[in-house]
Amino acid sequence: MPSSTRWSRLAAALLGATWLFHAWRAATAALTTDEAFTALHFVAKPWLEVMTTFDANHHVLHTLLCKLSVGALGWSELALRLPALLGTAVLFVSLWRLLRRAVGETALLAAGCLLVAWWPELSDFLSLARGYSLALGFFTAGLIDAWDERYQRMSVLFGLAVASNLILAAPVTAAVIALTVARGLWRRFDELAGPGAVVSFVVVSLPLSRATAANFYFGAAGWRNSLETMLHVPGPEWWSGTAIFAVPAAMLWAAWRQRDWLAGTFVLSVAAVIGPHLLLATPWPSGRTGLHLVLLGLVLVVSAARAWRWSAALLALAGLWCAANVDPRGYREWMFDSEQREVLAAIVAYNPKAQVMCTSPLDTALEYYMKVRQVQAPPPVAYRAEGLADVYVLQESVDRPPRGARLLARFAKSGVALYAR
Amino acid sequence: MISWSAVQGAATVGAGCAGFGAALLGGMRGRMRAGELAMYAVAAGGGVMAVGGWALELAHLSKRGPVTALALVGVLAGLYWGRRIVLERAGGPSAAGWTAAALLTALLGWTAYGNWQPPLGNAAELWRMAAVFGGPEAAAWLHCGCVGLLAGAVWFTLRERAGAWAAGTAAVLAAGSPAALRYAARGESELLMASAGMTALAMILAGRGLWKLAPLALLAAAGAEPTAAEEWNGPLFFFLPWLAVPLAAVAWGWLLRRQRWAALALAAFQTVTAPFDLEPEAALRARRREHDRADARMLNARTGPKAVVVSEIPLTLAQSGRKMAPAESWEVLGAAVLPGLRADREQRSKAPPSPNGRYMVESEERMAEVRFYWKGVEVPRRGSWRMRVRRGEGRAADLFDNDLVTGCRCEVEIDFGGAVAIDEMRIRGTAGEPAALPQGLRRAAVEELKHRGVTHILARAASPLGADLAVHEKYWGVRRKGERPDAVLYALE
Repeated sequence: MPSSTRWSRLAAALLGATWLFHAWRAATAALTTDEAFTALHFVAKPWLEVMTTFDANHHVLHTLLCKLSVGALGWSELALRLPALLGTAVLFVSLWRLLRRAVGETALLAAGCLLVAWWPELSDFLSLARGYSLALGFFTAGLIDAWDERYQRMSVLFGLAVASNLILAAPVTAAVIALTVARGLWRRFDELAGPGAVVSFVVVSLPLSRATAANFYFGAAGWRNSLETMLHVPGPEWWSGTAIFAVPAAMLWAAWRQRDWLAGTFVLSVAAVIGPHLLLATPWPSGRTGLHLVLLGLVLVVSAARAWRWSAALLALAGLWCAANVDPRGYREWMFDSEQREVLAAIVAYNPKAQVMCTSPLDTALEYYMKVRQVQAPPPVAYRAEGLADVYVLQESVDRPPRGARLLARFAKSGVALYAR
Repeated sequence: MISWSAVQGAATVGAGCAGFGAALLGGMRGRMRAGELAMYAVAAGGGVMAVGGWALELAHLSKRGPVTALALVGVLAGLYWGRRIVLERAGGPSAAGWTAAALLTALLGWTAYGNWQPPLGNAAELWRMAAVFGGPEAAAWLHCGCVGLLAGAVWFTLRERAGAWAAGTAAVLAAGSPAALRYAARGESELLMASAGMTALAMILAGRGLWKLAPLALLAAAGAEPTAAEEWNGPLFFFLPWLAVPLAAVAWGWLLRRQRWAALALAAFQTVTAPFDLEPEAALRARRREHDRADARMLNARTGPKAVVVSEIPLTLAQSGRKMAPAESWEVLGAAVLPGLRADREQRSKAPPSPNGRYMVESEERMAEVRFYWKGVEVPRRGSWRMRVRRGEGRAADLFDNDLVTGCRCEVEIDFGGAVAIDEMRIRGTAGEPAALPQGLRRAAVEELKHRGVTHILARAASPLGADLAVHEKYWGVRRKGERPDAVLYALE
């Protein structure tokens, strides 16, 4: 077997194994706050209400697919996360094809797939029921069609990406403009933009018509914080401190080196972040809202890394390091939610009808599990130290237990403690 | 039930427009297809009819006879000079295409007609001419015809440049949009303005000297006044200014000129969402504000500068330019007829002796009158009694003025000026056992308002009080002075 084919098969196997890991994680990990919010406030609502409500948390196409999924399979973690897993599958297949076009069937293909699939900020969202993996999957699939000059299909996929998550509107627009300019497709602009515009309008326009400026609240206050959230790497503090400068520099170097439509897409996407911030004081991207920049930038870095002989080894090492530091017990940003099922079981064992007082943001996932498991207890209320309740659910590192309360249970993984009077 | 005089009015004005337009096109020896002829003739002739209508108004001849005569002149001119128009038969729509266009126009036009409401402010000249025959309904018939005019204008704007598919998509999106059929129909003559504007654009783009008629096409919307731009124009056009909606439809049509399935999907989406009332709350609030502004304009127009108005619609002095009576004046009106405000109940309670001659009267409900009794006989009221409101709103004296329409929700302290023998207190108001109401409360309420200096009442047409005012105008002693779809203005007589 030619060694080149071996690398592409290795890359495919790595991505397949990664997907299986995410499928296991989706089936076993407890629901997080954001997922529970999506489930309670959108997925559980009637269809018409879903289509006539807007919130930054509401990613329309993803919500609709979740409704279909839980409708068919019932309320479970896997059913809710199934659309995300499908999106991850699409993303991985497209990533593999995109990098194969960019770097050929080389060791860099396998290293690049490993690095992108396990990038810390991206990794968690590949199984979270939030719509980011679905959106990135459609977007990356669209990039493949752009490469192969299948513009109508590209446009439809871009439209689906935007419908899955509005954040993708900027990179999709950037891609269309970059392609039009780079390949002189002015006369075919309707092919690039028309179908995607229709798809996204049909799905998103009604909910978006309810949007107000207050709905767009999520983001980082400053550019440094923004980079930290997107480019955080596991390890000593100075590694992340270096990464927030080194990685963007590498991405910009790669974009300069490539100077093609993909690089143009990346640059325009970055401009689409900086411009509105300077003109309209919109927030900087924070973690998940900059994932498209991370994806594009990493693909460019991998593509440009062909120039250096040992790049594959370095990128593979980085990918392995990131993979080794993923905590399978829960999601990094929501580790405090990782034992909510156990917390609820402890509450029910103590008193099935207990009034629960809970610190934010533990309450949302707890409320979700109470509803799904039809627990008789009323929904949890916001915690006050002087408030009266039967059970208190607190984050030990943050909250002070009420005076006179006794410890019921402690959950080491999530750092949650149960107290009762 | 269709009013034939309204149809007559719309047909007369429409025929006049077509006739004058045909005459103009014949004078230019225009070359065009049949569809273009109908559209350009109606639009250009509309400008002539509008000018003619102005002239008739200035001469105080805005009546059926002169308007009919004007239209007849147009028709005759069209029959005479219109023979010079050169009709191009090749390349036009097939019989099936004409039928489909006619059916679609009829369907969409009927929807627009059904949602039409009289303009908030100035009406277009053509509306006023039609209304001479059959009132506002005649203008509604013209309104539904504007749907076809708009569709045709959008069609011909794109047909030559982007093909039939693009033109058809744009025409369906423009004419079938909620903006055309529902939301703008509730306001001013936006549909007429949009169709006049788009026709003028089509004329300019058509060449062949037709651009010279564009100003007349714009004149067809003379007198029309747009509503606020915050109208929601459906999920495809959002909050675009209304007049930009047809242009946005043209943009969609051009973008999808080669994407037929996408065009069909978009048109289907618009069709499927059209029957549902999907306006965002922001648009509803904006329209309520616009209606309030329109009510204020009516108030301004129908009352003098010294008017004092008690209004059910919350208007400020800045909005209306008229002095607004305090909110408690509205309770005076409500106390005459509304359950919950009417003093149709009586509370009787023991009144313990008060050695210092002071007494507190309080009730959580509205009180209209208070009386004190000793062994079943009313204690006569004296001028030496002093009373004041300790808590709540209202005037203490209203509780002793023999008037059931005045009152308060308050705690009142009464100083009898010395020891008084009382053993029972009776409060007439909205709490307690049922009690009979005297006749003439409506008139009493109006007299009380007049005593307070109020000159007018502005009521919501659909509110309980507004409905009662409408039915029992004479009993109230008021006279209708102005009317809008959701508000009625009365003068106190």
